[in-house]
Amino acid sequence: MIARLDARRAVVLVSTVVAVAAALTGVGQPWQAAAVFWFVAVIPGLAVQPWLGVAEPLARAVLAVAISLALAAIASEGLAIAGAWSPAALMATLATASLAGCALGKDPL
Amino acid sequence: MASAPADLAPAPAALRVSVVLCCYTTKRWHQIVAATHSLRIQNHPAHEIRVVVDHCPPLYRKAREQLVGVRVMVNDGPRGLSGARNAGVAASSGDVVAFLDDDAVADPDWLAELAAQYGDPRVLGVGGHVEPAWEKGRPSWFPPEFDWVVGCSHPGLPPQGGPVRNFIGANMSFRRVTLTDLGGFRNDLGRVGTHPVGCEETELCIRASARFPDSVLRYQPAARVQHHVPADRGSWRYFRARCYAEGLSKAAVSRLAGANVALASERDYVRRVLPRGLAEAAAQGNPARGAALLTGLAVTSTGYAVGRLRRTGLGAPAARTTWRSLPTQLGPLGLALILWVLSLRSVDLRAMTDLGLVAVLPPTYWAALALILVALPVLIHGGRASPGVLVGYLVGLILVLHATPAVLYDSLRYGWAWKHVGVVDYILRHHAVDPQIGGPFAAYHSWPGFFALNALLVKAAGLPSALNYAAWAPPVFELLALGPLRLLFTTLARDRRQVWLALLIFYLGNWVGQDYFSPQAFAYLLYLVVLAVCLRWLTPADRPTKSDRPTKPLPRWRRWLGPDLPGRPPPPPPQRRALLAVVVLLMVAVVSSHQLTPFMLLSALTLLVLGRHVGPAWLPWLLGALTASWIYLMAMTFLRQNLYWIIASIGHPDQNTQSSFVDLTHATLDQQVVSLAVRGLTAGMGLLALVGWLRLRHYGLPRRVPALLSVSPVLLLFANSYSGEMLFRVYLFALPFLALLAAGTIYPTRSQRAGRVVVPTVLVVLLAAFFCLAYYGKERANYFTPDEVAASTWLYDHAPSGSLVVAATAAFPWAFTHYETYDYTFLERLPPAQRVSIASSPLPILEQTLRQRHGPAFVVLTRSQNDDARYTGVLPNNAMAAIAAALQRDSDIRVAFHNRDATIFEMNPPAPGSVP
Repeated sequence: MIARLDARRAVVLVSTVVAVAAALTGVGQPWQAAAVFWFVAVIPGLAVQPWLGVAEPLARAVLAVAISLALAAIASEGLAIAGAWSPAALMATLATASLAGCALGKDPL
Repeated sequence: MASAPADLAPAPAALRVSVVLCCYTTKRWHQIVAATHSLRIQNHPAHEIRVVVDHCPPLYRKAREQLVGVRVMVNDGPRGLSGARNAGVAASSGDVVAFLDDDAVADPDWLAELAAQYGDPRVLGVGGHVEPAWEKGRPSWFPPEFDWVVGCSHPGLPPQGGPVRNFIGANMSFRRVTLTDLGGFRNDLGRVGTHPVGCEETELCIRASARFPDSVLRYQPAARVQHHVPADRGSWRYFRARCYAEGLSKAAVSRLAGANVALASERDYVRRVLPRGLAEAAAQGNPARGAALLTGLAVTSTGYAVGRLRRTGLGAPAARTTWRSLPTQLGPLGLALILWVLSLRSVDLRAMTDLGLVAVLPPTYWAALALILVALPVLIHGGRASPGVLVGYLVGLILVLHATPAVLYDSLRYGWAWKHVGVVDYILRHHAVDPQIGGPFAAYHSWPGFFALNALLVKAAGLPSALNYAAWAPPVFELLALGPLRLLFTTLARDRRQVWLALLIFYLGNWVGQDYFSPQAFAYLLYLVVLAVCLRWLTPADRPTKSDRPTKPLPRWRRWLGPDLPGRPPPPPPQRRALLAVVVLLMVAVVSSHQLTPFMLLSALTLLVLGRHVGPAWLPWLLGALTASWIYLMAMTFLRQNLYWIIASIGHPDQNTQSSFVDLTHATLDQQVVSLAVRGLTAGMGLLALVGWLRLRHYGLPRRVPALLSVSPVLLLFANSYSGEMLFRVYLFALPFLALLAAGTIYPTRSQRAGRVVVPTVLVVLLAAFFCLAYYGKERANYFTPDEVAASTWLYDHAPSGSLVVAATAAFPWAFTHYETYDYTFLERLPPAQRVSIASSPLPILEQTLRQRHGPAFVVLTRSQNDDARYTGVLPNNAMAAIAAALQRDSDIRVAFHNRDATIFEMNPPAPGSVP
């Protein structure tokens, strides 16, 4: 249980830090694209897994991707509609949400 | 700490008890009749009596014809008692599920005694007393302490009742929600036919106690059944064999649950019960009974020791795919991928005919595809391949089918994908969207979710444009769909092979090509996830009935929509709330990303809620409100511009059929073949689904929800023509469920014989042939050569802002940059009369279009547009050549760019003061 818990937090933490660093510093391709795509498409959804209480690995993976993409799309279009679209603000928002997920309670597994 | 979900259960008097009776042979027919009769005369009437026939067609037919007052069904899962019991549980709807053996007869108070114990909310399950009914009397040597050998209660059980570790399978009951929460009985334990192994109920009881440690499994001796013991079971041979098998089974349970838990009752039994039995045998002067006691103990212990020493077998991790079998199972896939990679090195795209890619892909490509298409049905049919292996094959298939264009083409495929890149480009430049913007791009600003997401990806990833990755959208979207599809299918079907075949059929039936870089592909993915979450977890909660007030019966039409889903317990309230929040989040993303998908989702959710397949009845209302709000706030400009044709197409489904199927009169033979493949595949999927539905209905298997979800998109057909595309969209949204029903034409089947694999293999190969023609058949119009891309690049480098861009059709790289600074006119959208006459007299029509502009205008004519016009029949076959010739003759128009695949004509604005 602890190993899974730690693994999830570690993946969220490392992915978030790497993606934000890559986006800010421009480490070059394909590393920057890989880090950012992985982060945006997976990490926010992975971070909120403890809330969902879903045990099946496949379901966890599906929900992680769907939640991440939906969150990113909604946040990005919200700023675009407001005329304040900013990739930096979006990355900061998603990173904050992901790191907040690390502080969540006990993983159900 | 987990607590039992018992607070959902009603009072004992109102308790609905489903009884599951599993049978496997006609030899026990008279006992089955007696057993079902004893169930029908219970003082606490059974809510339902489900007779589950375990892979025995003659017995199934006989039972359906002759048994009265019961529901006969087949075990569509793995063969064996565990599989049959699980199938029965899945079909049951009572608060409690009781199990009676097919050779047992229940006392009239059996269910009443069991039900009475459920007044205690801590009770997870109740077992009763099983009394042996010896066919030829009990053998004098047979010790009552070993009555468990013949499946009956023994003196080690508490005589007044009380908590026990496990029950005897012939007489036990559990709360249904407990069984479903635990995932049922393990299929790798339990009797198969007459093979005397078991302990599946012991393992389940141990698992239940571990899952709900504050709960209790109660033995109630007043709940009695008589268990028939045939003469052959009173033999020494059977005694020894059964004791040995029990030892093996105990070893298996020990591996699964730990020796301390698995053997706790047995230690007490050996310490207390056996010595007492030996003393009684001595007092009776019955040395044979004493010998039987000692022999039984020794043989059982030997079986246990042997079972513990075995590295595989019962209770070993369920790894169907062993390391030894892995090369055999994955070999064809590896070879197929090697052949596929090799095949991509020698493709001459310029040699494409009107069969598209089909004409130029080399034999190695087809060999790769054939390897996958033959190996995958064989593995599915065998039922021994692990999910990982099968997923590997499906991933391989997706790569071979959908990554091939991305690898072969040096530019983004399909003209509309280029336009979508342009919308992302707009957000990157303006850092905003403009819902008030008019013209052909209004919809993208009104539903910008997908484009805003990609703008974020492009900018944060440091890429110059979405063009850098958009070509890979089809394989990525198809791969991402695999997860939610599998979740959906495993929720809606019980047979593992049906699930895997349905996945394969889905990918071979998905010729529509809506997986390109587009908002509909994104929204479709979320649509699948929403349905998967709703059906898997957001099932209606079993609310306790208040007192004995009868629930108001549903109207007949709602009962018809009603449940035949494999039962799943609703998750605990906090989890349910979290998953509901996820669904709402996904719905917002769908509503804000695509104009059509919310209506498809609304239609599906409405039907699911009406059929009580999805619990929160307010979900469709919320989705409807979100959709209406979004349109009101964000899409009024789009709505005003398109209101006329939206209203005009309501109730005219014929517009779809007229515009969706091209006129084949002037098509080449190749294109006629492609068009027939499209129609054949679409109609074939529908036909297969219908046959599958009938077959599933015949066997009483789940088919109602897939049928509802197949039909739900059709309602939209009557609401809007969606520019003539609605028929294809309806097919796309129905496809997952059509595929699941279509797989029902083959599975479940009782046979695993190799010969039977021919049918699914032939079906799959046929579908693949149709798919390749339908999906690859228009690639001459979808593929853009480097020359065509060069022409478009020149256009946007040189055309000043405010220019008018005229093209025959939209089949060329257009609008991918600064799209809002140009106006676009396509000749394919001229009135029909003008489209017909443009070949004979193009100049008047063109001049009418060009000269009404006061800015520069460019006419772009490309090879891909010519092919597109031929395929769709929107322009006469010689129209493009006639237009080019007429433009070249016009002195006011010059050729600004030309290469072998594209020509761009430029018309400068008339001088100030001149007469147009």
